[in-house]
Amino acid sequence: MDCPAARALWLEHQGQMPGSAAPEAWRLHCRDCRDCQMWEQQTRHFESELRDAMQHVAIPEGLQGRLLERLEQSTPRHRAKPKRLHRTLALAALLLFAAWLAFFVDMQWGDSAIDLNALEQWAKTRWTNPATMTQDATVRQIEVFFKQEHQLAVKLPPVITRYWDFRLCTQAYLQPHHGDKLAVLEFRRGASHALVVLLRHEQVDSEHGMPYYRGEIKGSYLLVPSPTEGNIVFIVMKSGIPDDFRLAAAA
Amino acid sequence: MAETRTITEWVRRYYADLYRYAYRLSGSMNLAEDITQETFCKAQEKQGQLRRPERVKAWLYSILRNVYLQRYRRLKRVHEVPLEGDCLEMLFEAPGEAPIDEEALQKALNDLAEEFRTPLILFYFDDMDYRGIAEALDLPMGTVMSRLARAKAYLRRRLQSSPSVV
Repeated sequence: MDCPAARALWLEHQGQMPGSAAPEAWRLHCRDCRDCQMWEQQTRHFESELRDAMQHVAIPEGLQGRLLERLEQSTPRHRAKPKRLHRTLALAALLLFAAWLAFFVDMQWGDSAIDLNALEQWAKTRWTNPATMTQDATVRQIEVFFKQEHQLAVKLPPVITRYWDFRLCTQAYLQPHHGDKLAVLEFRRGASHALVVLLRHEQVDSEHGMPYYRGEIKGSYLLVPSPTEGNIVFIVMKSGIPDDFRLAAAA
Repeated sequence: MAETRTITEWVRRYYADLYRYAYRLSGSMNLAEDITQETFCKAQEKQGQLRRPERVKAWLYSILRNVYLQRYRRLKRVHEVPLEGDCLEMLFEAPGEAPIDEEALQKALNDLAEEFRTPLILFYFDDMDYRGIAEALDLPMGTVMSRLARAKAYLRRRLQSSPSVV
């Protein structure tokens, strides 16, 4: 085709831009230009042949079987994954539940009462009064509180001759000593919890046999791996105490 | 179980078409088989996403195209011919009447640089229009038009030994 006007027209026509007037312009041009008309027919024929030829590809022998076989092999794998995952998760949940159940039973029916006298003996307890305390409570109030609210026999540190706020004590001590120096023991009796904070610097007999201890501090749990060494510094109290409770208020 | 039956049925019905498409795109029997296999694997994973079951073939084609474009497109061929600027002239020569030799066709396609070959196959094999090709390849429409025109001209020259000029 040696028709310069038609060339641009054809290329644009091929692009089929939306809203383009090129197809109509091309058709009108071909109506009057026999060369272009023939060329277009031959081109369309060639392109049609080309499309057909593109589709003619020899299929390798046994391809279908191989595809199906590999798909079948992959299917169990695809499905085994979630199954395995579900099984693992179920097993983990079961183990977790069993551990929790054992812990719960031990706490409910086990010998969980704290013998502070014995503890004092084991741990060579030394009672300390945190320097940062500002809240007031009498010794008697503290003793009564622990006895009545937690049914715990409490031997108060001799240095506590004046006043305490045990919640503040906990925080005051844990923050500066958080790390390997402090351990927190959680003791339960019924629904009550008591926390014992240990400042570790001496070897303690591990007869009490508690490998892990947990204490709730500011709403989070502190896990301490080994409480088997150190001295008891002071006793602090449970979570769940009413927010407005102040030992000083009863004075 | 029903899913397995479905994918098996798709393989039986469409494996040949998909293989041909993969072969034209990749130019290699081994790659074509891998691409076809991967296409069916993906189809199996995604069959829940097929909204119009009557268009499953087009859906499988689009998966295959994506598999090829994402993983195999950049594999460099050994002989890739650059297309000269004046090859467009060939487009306006009258095509010959001789039937197209299929072996020569694949050889010509294999020698074509990927940026020209892929649009050409999408156009002739997949029957995509310029807009569809532009979207699939993330190219401007003008670029697609230009590449296709050059690729067509090149193909015509390779497939016709003695074209007569009108």
